[in-house]
Amino acid sequence: MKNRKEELKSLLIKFDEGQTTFDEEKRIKDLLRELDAMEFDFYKHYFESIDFSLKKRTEKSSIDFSFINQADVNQKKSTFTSRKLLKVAAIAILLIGAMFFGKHQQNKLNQSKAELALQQTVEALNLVGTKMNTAKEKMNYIEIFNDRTKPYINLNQK
Amino acid sequence: MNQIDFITEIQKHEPKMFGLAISILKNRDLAKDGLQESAIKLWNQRDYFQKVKNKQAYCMQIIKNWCYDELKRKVNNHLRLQDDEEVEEGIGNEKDHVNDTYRRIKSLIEKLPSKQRLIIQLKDFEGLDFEEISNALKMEQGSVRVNLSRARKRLKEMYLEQENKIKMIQNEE
Repeated sequence: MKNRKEELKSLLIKFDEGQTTFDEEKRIKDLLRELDAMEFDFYKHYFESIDFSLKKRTEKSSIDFSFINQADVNQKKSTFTSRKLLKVAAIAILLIGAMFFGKHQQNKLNQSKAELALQQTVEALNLVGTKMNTAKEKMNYIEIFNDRTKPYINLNQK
Repeated sequence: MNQIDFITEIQKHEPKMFGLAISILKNRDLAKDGLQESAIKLWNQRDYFQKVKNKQAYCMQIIKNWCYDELKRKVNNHLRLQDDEEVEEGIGNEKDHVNDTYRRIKSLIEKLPSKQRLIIQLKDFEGLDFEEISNALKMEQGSVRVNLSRARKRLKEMYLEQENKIKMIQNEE
């Protein structure tokens, strides 16, 4: 009995200094219960209060975790909206791309057609030019013939 | 971190977080608000939270900051925190004595300086160890121990003073 009281006293000194471990505090509680002496009333009541406080802490979780589902729904919604927007944007880009490509191809085709037409015109003009030159040369012979025959043939003069 | 892991993790630390919030705010409803807000904050930063090694310390840090912000907000708005009046009620006749003792000890704890009160609450009534308190309050473990020692000694003094007064009154009667 005396030994236990001494043990308790020394443990309580350690307790007051904040040096006790959880096991030592458990031992203090056991000794307080066994000895039940008036001089340790404060400690007895103090440990009773601690036990009481721990026992009454049996409340269910007070955190409402529904915000997690809400956050998920919002996230899904926003993901869905972004996906939809992305699809629309992709289609729009494809359409615009196709339009520009088509226009570009059309321009290219028109340009090549114009170039061909120009080339053909140039060739045609060249051909006309050559023929004109030949004709002109032949006309020169007529002029020489006229000049030479003029003294002898004067059909138009009266 | 998926939903189930997150909820399990938070529920593991919830009692201690609640205890810390109560110790700072002295109001159950506000402490519950603090828990809720902290859980939302932790969920919003779950990718980071998953990487945190000491999750309990981190949770305690989050709720502690929330509580102090709340206190500041109350002070700035010139509001006064309404203390919880009832410590416990309706536990049963056989426990009335313990209930009274609990109320008495609690009322004495309320008279301690705020740091000592917080530390004694966390250590003795919420079951946190020195390391956890040190992490939660960003204090050296030695300092936590010193404050705890002062708190316990002061509490004992106040209790004995009160006992003496009661005895004196009883003798006079």
